[in-house]
Amino acid sequence: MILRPKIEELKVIGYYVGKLIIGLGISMFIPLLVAVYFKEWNPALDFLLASLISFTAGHFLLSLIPRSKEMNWTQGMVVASLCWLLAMFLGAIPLYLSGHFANFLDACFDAMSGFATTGLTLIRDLDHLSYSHNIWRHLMMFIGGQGIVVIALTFFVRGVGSAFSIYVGEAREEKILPNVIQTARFIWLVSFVWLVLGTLLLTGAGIFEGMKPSRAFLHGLMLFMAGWDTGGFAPQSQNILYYHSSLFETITLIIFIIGSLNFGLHYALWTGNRKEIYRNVETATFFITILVTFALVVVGLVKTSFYSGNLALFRRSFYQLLSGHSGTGYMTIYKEQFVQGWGPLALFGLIIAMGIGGCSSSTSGGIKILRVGILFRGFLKQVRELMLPESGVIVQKFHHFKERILEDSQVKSAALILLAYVFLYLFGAVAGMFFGYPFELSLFESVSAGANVGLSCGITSESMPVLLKVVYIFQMWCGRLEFMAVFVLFGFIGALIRGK
Amino acid sequence: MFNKLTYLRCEPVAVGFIRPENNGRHKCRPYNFEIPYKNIVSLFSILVFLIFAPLLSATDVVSSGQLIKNSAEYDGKSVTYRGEVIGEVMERGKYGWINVTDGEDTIGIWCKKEDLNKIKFAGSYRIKGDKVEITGVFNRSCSRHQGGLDLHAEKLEVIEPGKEITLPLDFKKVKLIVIFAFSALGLIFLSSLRKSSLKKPQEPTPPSSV
Repeated sequence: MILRPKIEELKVIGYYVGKLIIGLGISMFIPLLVAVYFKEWNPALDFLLASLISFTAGHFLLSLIPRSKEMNWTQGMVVASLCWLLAMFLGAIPLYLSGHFANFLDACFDAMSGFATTGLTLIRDLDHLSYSHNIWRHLMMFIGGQGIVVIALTFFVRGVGSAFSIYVGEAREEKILPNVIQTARFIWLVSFVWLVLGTLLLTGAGIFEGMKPSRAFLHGLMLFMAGWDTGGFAPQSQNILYYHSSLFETITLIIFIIGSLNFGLHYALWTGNRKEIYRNVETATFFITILVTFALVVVGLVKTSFYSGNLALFRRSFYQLLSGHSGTGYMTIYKEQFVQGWGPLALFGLIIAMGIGGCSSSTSGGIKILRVGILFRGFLKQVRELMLPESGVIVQKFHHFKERILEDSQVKSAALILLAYVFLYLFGAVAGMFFGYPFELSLFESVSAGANVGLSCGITSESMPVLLKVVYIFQMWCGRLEFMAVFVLFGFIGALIRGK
Repeated sequence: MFNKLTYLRCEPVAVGFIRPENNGRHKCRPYNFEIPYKNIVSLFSILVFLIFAPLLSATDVVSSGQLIKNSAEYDGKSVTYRGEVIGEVMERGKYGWINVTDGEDTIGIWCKKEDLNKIKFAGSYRIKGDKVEITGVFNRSCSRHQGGLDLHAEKLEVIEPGKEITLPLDFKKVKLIVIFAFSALGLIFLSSLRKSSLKKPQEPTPPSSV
């Protein structure tokens, strides 16, 4: 028998959702200040209105239950998944008011793409967008990449028990420090230090490449926010191609690779444990998957002879591959070129890289390298066991911040998540094919949405079917939260309707 | 027989218009005249020229969509492309980059410094950039720029200067802001009121005298 959640449970969920919504409203003051500074008065009104709507909604929920209570696991998961949906709607308000979107759904698409650090976009005439709206697009990536919940944990949530349940709901499992709030604060500290460094580097590169200092700084800041959080939005419609600069490409590549590493690894390096970088199963697997997928891409591109010269081939393909593998989605080629010049083998290599994604407990999406590493070791263990006599026992170890013994439950859990991602990717691909797109391109775009990458082969556009936009929004949401919180939300809604 | 037609002619009247006179009544009388065929043919020719002249000259201009979608066809060929300069001019020594959009997509243009100096406005939020016409060699995978899709300009002309755009304030948004500001303040007051009432320790009830 399914038990219907009690009113008290709904109130607890409402309380935390309300707090998080207010947090989102406060974050809109940043683009509001930018708008005031640059005298962009209409955009300033957009942000003021959107933040007031957020405050109204948040305080409405808080007025229903003014006192916090500790949450259980289910409630934490429901809060995490609900917050992401509400953040999409509220984040889309200033975007829609900018007049650069055909309808509110398109603005929601970009808001979800931003928060989920995907990078697919339906915006019109991006090159004439105000600075403040552009900052908001990139700030959404920063907020989403850090984790809406991580930020809220740092500032708003006091109870550690409640904090951990919503922290896990946002697809973060590892506690880098003993306390989850301390962990959230550490993530925040690392990101802030890199924010300063990365912005300075990109500003310098911008000035060196002929940009005005003020624009170089703003572009540097925006590119860092989207690169570090493996997002993929850029201030101009040509993405990274706009700069026509190998220097920009090198710096952004370094930023998004560092951003796609496990925050635990950042902590290890922060505390002087440099050996961890090559001992860790995740970084070792990352290196191998890059080599294998890059080999596939190079062979595919050599076959099509699309690029004139080895340097051209390396510069374009290596950047695109790492951008896809890390889940960033920065582009230095036109989306049509994937179809025209990359060929099926190179596209396959890129799809595999996108599907795997970056490291766990990072801002990347996708299956995650740790799971691939665990599955590979599980496979090796299975083969070895088959070769041994029945009484023989194999102990397979792996290093992930400490020496660990590979257990069947870990392999099973990794396999289940991998399977869920494969279904998610296929679901989007089938939806694409239903609307008449070829399988190859449908799969490419679907993996890009589901793994929160943002590379596009041209399907994502304002004119694509409405239902496909909804499917991609669902994929981005599901992929970012790694299913569990979304399944719990569906279960919770089911219990509300059918429970007794 | 077709040369001579009978018309009703209104006097005095401008061509194509009937001017009401004498309280809306017209002075009309029958009028016979010959159709001037030579004039009509020459007028027609001028009209055809005026209509199709821009199209004839535009046949050489290619759009960004055409260039990107049919990149193999245009690769290494001289093309003419038109559009608005966006972002900024990025000088790189004696040459530099501009990015030009025609509304469909944006193409990077590699130009000489003297051509770059012609550009006064680059499009952004409040600026409509200079509209330029570029003739140059299109590269699907430029060997000089390591595989980039670009256009190396041989000739660049500003065909329509850009300008600053003034954007009027949207007062509908101001009204909505006032409404939501009041509702947010009301709810903040309400939630703080409820919070304080919950925090306040309950006073002990006096013992009943009965």
